[in-house]
Amino acid sequence: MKPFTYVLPHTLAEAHTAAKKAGAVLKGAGIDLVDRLKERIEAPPEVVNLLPLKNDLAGIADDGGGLRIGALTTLRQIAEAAALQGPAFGAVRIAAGLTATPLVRNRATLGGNLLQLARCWYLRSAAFGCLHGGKGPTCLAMTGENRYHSILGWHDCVRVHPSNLAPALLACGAEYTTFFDGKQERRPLAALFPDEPTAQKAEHTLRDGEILVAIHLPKPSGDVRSTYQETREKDSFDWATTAAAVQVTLQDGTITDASIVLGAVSPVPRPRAEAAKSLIGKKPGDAAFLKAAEMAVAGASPLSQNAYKLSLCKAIVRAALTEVTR
Amino acid sequence: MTKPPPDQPQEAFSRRSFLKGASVATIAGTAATAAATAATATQGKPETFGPGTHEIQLKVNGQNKLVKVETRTTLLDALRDQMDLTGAKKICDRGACGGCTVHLDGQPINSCLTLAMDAIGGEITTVESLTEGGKVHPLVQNFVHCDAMQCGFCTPGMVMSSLACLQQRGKPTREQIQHDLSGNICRCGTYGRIFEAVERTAQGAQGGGK
Amino acid sequence: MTTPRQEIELAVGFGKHIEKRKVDVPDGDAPPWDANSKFTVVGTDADRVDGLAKASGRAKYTYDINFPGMLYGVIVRATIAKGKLDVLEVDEARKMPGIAAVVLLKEVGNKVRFVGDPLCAIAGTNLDVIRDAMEKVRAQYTTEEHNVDFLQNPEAPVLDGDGNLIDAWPEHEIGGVIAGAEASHEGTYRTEVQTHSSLETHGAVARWQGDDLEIWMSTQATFGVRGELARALDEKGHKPASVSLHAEFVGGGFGSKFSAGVEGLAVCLLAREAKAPVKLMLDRFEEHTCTGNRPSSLMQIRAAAKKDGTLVAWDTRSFGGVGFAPGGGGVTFPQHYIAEVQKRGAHKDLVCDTDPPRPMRAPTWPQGYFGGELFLDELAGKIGIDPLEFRLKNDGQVIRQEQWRMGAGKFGWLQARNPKPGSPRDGDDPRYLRGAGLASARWGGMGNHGGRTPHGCTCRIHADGKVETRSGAQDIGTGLKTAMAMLTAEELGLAAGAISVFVGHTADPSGPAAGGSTTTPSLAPVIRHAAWLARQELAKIVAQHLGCKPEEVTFAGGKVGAEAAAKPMLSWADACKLIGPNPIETRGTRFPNYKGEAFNNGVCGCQFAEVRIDTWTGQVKVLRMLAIQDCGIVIAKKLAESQVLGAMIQGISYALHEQRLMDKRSGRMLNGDFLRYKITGPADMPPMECIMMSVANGHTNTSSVGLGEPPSVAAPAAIANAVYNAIGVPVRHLPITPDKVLQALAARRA
Repeated sequence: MKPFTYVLPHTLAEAHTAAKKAGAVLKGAGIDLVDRLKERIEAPPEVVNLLPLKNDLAGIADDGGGLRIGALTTLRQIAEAAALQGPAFGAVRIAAGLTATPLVRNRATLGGNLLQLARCWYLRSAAFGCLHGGKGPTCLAMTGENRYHSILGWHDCVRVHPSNLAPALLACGAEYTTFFDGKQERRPLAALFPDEPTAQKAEHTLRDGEILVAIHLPKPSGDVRSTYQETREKDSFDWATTAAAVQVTLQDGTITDASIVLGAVSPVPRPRAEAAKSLIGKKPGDAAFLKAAEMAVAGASPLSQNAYKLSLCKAIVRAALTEVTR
Repeated sequence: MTKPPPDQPQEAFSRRSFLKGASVATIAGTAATAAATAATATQGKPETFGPGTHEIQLKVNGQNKLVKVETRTTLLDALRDQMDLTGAKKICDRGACGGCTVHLDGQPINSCLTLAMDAIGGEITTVESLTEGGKVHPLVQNFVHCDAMQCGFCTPGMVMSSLACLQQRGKPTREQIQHDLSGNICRCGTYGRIFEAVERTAQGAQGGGK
Repeated sequence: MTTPRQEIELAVGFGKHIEKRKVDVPDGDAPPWDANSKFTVVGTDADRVDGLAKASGRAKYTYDINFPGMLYGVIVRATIAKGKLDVLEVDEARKMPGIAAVVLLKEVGNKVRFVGDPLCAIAGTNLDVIRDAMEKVRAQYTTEEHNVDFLQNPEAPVLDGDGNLIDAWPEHEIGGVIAGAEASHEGTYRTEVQTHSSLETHGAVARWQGDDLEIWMSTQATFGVRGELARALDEKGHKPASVSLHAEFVGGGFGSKFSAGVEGLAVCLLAREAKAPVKLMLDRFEEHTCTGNRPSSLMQIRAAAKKDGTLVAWDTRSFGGVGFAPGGGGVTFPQHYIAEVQKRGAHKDLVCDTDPPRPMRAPTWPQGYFGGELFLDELAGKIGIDPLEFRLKNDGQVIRQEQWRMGAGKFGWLQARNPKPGSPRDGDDPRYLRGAGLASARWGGMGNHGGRTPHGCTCRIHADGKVETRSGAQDIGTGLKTAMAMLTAEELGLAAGAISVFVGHTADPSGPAAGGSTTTPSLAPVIRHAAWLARQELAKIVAQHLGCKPEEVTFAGGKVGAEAAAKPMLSWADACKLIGPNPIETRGTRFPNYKGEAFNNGVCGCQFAEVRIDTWTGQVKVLRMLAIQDCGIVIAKKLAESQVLGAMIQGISYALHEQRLMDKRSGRMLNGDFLRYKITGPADMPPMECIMMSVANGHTNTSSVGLGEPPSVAAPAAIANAVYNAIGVPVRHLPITPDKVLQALAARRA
């Protein structure tokens, strides 16, 4: 790590002002940031630590309209939260519980998980200069080693979005609140991720100094269930090769609402609206799930080394739908 | 494909209230006083530290210790290089192996990914605490009895993850032990014997004796 | 000079297979143990003697050595894979705050051979300031075209789209034998580069006091690296007056730590220049990319058998994917099936611009056994014979014949075997396929006496009752210290815990490097001999006190005395009080291995695995494993089992997860960390069992054979065979990752 000034704000406003300064970065637990600093792919002059604001920024509470999860809530707290025990939010709970390792989950925060830098091995090494890192003319993975990279919706950079929680929260209809210039603003979660995830775009759409404050989950009505599944190469700590978060509403044995969101296959978490729509009005069953899984990867364009992820992606959608309607 | 983690006890959750946030802020303030030369603490403005070296106070194994750090110093380096507490190992230095596991406020964490500054005000517990004052914690005894080690380099981290597993679950199942230790890597391949050591400890055994 | 010898008849063998053999025992050796020996300590489940030091976090490994005023060191390494160093400027780095020394490790004009080739080393007050300074080092190169994929080497064979070698076999009469045989088969097998991934990285702490040099090093060859360093420093003009080396605790080595390496030399030079102790430990990326590996391999096998399963011909050609120089890339096929058959084998190493291989746990064997054993299962399938029957038919090792039967019964081989490969077992969710596989292990590891520098061991008995056993060799986790305590305790009638063990310091008698499974069999006889001599010394003193003959004095259960004597037995403490101020000190002799035919020249072993495959996701889950393993007369049973179980876990890792992934353009490793280099973890662990078989072989006074390597030979092959049984098609390329399983399943459907 290069030297930096460590800033401890007393209020969100102080944090915002400090983080707006050129080169300043915000940190929660620092799980992602410390790794980037150790790799020396970044050298911010100032690191603004949000942990002193835990009072305001951590915790899960019912705010009347639904659940509010503070951005500094740890992944472990989410995985174990009583408020998330119901079937509607299974996806969120499970996605949090599968992330990284128990040791990481004890510190890693919701905000950090959603906003972390992509885990591409070219991007994360100071030895390489790539387009997304702002240090090179091309995406090195596109024509290099790309077995773990995008198969869907990529442009000039084939990174995958690394967050487990993003697809889960999207599938559950989450919104997010940020703090910027003295105001709190609330938007649908999809707005946190760029529409066109080109190399120039960051993993998220937050402005400099904008602070993610909380995620909101709507109150479920009716028989709403969700789950999250991922494929990986081993059960102990591994990155997902593909992930699927699904939420369905069942009424009298028929699917009346559905959402399917893919993770680890595209530079952003990918809602698959058409695939989800194909389930509406159907009774749960393997034929419907297989069709939805097929539709979920429609338009995919795998790279030289990752066509296998297509099969995995279909399998995981099918598996998640099977699980959630069981 | 993976299964969701085994059920977590609710009790573990309730123990971690959100009061901690407040204490971090307050005690970070205290540390600023302790390090008045390095910190600028003006009313209405954030406190800032560094760059450069300054002194902070860390509470390690129940004792307050003053250590010289930079803002970029990790908790692991502070423990190993400043306090000679070398039980926590630097193995991957990226949070992937668990060799550096210590407890922060009762929870096992990667000290290599934790800035020393972020541990101010927290209760840090290292593996050395399990053999203080001539007493050997039963978990350590059972690691020896079950031969839950070979080269031994991952072992202190394994002990600390195992300790947390026992503290939080009481009598964990095999599957829960595997889950709770899954942030720790052993290259010699001692996992099975570690699981046995944890199970024996849960059953009240103390090494070879009862 | 020849030592006078006596012919002694020993009972050798195991279980029901005990036979009498005459061996030629040198005069002065301790009476050799054999199959009829009764033990009170040896073969028991005594605890690891340094277990508490390790589990408490209080053991001081090299990485943990701290001194007041100690500096840290880092090596600056080349960022290109091939070329020439044109410019190396370090002056600016030297002027950075906190920097105390810079030493050059490569001269301008020299070749750069791989990403990571060392350029210079920097010492400073902490790693962060050194990394700040490293950015000021300016290196410029003339680059040359590089290649980091052994199959892109111009001499590499041509493969078809399925990975099969398609070049014609060289003309040879074996071709005719195979063509005319009742059954034959051919296949191409491949493995990837595996890194040792020792958890304690390579490195050392160096401290000069005048011209005397003291070093703490994470090494598996205390004496070897001491000599290597002394020579290297002499060449650099810093000849040390003395070199003393410590390796009391070593965080793994697996074959990668036989050399002091450039890091060893660099830290000594930095400490010299900085006039302060320096610690230089490699980081994880360097450990993956600069300290050797198990090289990749490509193997083509064709063989023939009779309809009854008897092998008649075995023909192979293999290629090893090595680093910038040839060497170390070989593969070893299971010879015990083909001792009597017509055979041919050819091998070639294919160089690439990477870090060269180093020996890694049973170097060349796990690769060849994976290819060989999977090939045999494919051939067995063609013939229509059960793989176990096939092994029993062709395995020439008497110990393993017994092990196959024992293992098959214990494992429930026939029940575990999927009768319809590729189909779900009755009652299973059709998404999952199960299967079982087996494979053999073999290794030498009989130990040696040390050649020109015979191995030694010191035993001391003090008047206060303390017993020391001392060797300068190292315990890298294999359990040497515990074996030393147990062997000494056995001779003296004490408990293992009563013995103080000292290893890993070059002030003590020399021993072998921890390699080739030779440490225990090389040292056990001399450890025992030292204790046996000490016992005789004490017997003399006690006999005088008791008024009996020394040979009448017995040592058992912490008591010393003689039944025939008038005076009662003495407690150990009281007996030792007779010793006086100078302790009894004996130096054991490691006699050469006995002449005459040992019962079995090496060790056998076999392993069984059951796997479950998720046909949707391609993930392989090992459900359970069993090992049957011998290693001579087992000394420390619990630790021996640990080593076997550990080898099985490493085998899972090699079979399913581990591979070095290289960026071809830059020549740089992409997964040089533990975030992306995948090692089996706790959640992947199946239940495992290990059964140790004790075999008296009559080749030394302890009948010990090394155990480190053999169990690591079988595991990957057993798993690959289980996968084949589950899905009905072989996955011939390790690691068996989900993409390959899915591809195999798709191929079967097509």
